[in-house]
Amino acid sequence: MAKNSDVMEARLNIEEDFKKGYDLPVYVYKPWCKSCEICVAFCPKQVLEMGEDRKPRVARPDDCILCRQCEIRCPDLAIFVTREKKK
Amino acid sequence: MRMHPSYEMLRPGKKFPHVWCPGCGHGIVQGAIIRAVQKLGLPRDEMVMVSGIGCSSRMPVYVDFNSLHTAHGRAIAFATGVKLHNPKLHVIVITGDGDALAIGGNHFIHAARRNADLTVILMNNNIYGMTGGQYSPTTPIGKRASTAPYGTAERDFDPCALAQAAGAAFTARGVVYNAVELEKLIETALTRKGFSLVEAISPCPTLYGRLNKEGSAVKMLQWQKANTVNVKAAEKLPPDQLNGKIITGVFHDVETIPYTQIYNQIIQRAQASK
Repeated sequence: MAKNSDVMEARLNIEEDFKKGYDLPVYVYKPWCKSCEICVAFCPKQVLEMGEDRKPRVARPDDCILCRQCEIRCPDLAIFVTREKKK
Repeated sequence: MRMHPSYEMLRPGKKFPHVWCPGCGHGIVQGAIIRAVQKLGLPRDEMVMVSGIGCSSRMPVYVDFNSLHTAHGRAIAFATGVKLHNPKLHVIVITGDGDALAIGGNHFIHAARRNADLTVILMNNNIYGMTGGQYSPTTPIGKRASTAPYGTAERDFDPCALAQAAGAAFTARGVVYNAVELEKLIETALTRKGFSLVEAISPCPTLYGRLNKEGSAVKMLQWQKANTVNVKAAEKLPPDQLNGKIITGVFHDVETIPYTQIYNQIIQRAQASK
């Protein structure tokens, strides 16, 4: 995957991952992530962890409450919740 | 599966990740602006984003609105022109603390005095980030910058109080830690007639944080969390407990007749008397 990509390319890459059966509640688009760790630090349920590649890893997907705090605070638009909130 | 809702507002063809440093709060403000615009359902063709020079002013490059990237400090002057020419447009000015208060200080106070119908988002990171960390008009007294290695001797501006004194219709302050509140403040500011200012306190972990030993981006956001007081709670606290705290919320919100409307009335009167 290219280091820099525009939004169209990012969407295609993410959709491809979805088609391959990506099934976690949080998606990290790694090429855009700058490893600031804000998402990991402020997740209220400690769903995320820093991986060995210094990018967040969805370590405890079952604990995710779909609050979108990671999505709202990510300065790089690199992380988002893949499921709609249950009403 | 759900796609990131902000992606449809990003400018195609622009390479990401953006230019801001890891953990810079400006990206969080960008997200809040996009969500506020989406929530209000404003058509993208009616949005204009005007910016000057500085870290914050890179934003119109990434957000797919009509955009204008202008001279240092002059964003508000250009934006007033855009709004006068076509009052239907929603004009957002993206500016930083140095851009709006030092180089563009006069444009800022006079746009507030005229009550130009603009939404000004002032990203305050207390330093000039792009040029190497010189102290800015909002660097708190005693804090270090590359041009103040022993701490600055100057007092800092309160942009909200300044705008209110100059005649702004709406002033509010938010912190990026509380991005949901910030989004709501921006949303309110976009619906207000007249000069609306939202000051977004945004951490600069690379320069301000390093020079003042405030730690990583996460530490700076945790500091914001611990040192933010809402304006309603602040009214009940004694002043000594508010030292060094950031007061957030809406400070000033009044109904006014915007500059654009008065200007158009004058045009109509002048044309009728011909």
